[in-house]
Amino acid sequence: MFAHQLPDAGDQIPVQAAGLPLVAVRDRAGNVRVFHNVCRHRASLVVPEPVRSQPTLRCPYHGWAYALDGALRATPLWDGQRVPNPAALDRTQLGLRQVRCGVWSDVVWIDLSGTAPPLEDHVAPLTTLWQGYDMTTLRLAHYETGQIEANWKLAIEASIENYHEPFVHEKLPARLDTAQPTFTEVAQGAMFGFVTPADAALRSDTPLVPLRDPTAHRCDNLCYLFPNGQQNLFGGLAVRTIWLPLGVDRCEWRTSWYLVGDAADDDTHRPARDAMVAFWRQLRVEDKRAIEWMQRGRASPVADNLLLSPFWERSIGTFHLLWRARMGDATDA
Amino acid sequence: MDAAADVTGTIPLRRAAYTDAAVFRSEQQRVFAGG
Repeated sequence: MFAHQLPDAGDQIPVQAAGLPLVAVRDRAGNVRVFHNVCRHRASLVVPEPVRSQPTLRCPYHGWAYALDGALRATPLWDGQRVPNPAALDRTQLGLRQVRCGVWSDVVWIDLSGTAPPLEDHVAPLTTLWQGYDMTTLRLAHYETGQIEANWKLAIEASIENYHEPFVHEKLPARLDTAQPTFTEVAQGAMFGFVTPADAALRSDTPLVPLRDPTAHRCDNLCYLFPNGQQNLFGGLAVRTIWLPLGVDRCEWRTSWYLVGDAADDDTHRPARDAMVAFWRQLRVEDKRAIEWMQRGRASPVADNLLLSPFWERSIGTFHLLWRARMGDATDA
Repeated sequence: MDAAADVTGTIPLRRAAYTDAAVFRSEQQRVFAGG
């Protein structure tokens, strides 16, 4: 999820990660916290639906209430008394189980194991790649979600190669008129993807992200942070997508689009924003169709020994290597 | 090593990675839960 979805203290949103029920909360200090969304009483979901500006996380089953830092504050009628005897239950050890998390680039990153390297290390390749841009100028312009009937990895693979673009996306600029790649793969740590010269950029009437060094070379960036964080930067537009696996053959995308300064929400740039949204919706429709074709093809037993173009699809290979490294001996896939 | 590896140095994932519920459960644990 995105931090912008929790604008105020007490905002609470249930989320799923690795199949587990979690809840993200904005606490009184302004920090995003994530907890297992499981009441310590009978394991009911504490927050089954998003709520805004609540003083506590209140379980709907028996009214147990947790402070925004997770501490158990109230267990109404626990001992049958309208004013419970504090000695009837030691609340001090019954807070919500917290999950390690951090916010970078408006994305809430979750570490269920509690043992992952620091978030700054995870995102370092991308912060280094983009150190020439002043990303602080970006503001949320649009947010949208959708589902695809396909494995989440196919969705990611479809967005880290531009081999398919002239066949699937008629409105995208042609990049096939040269024997030399118009893009360069990037792969470091958890980061993979590719960058293209800015002259191949998607064009818009919104201002460009300022360069810290005005003479620096501007590129378009289609990058990922393993496993499922997509981070794109095109001229004046940043697109951040979280790809959520919902099942072996179903996934969800949650995407935020950001523009520079007032272009994100003023009237002057409304036509450009509307055009941007329409353009991306069309891309998503076209991609969804192609991705679902790949999933349907994989129902066949002959769908193995597939190929990756050495010219276009090296980033998919990088993604696969990262996946295999994480899976270890769990599969021979 | 298959033909794809000969060409690109990388081997595309097999179809089980996209279709097998058991692989999906392992993936949830190992890729997304970190364990």
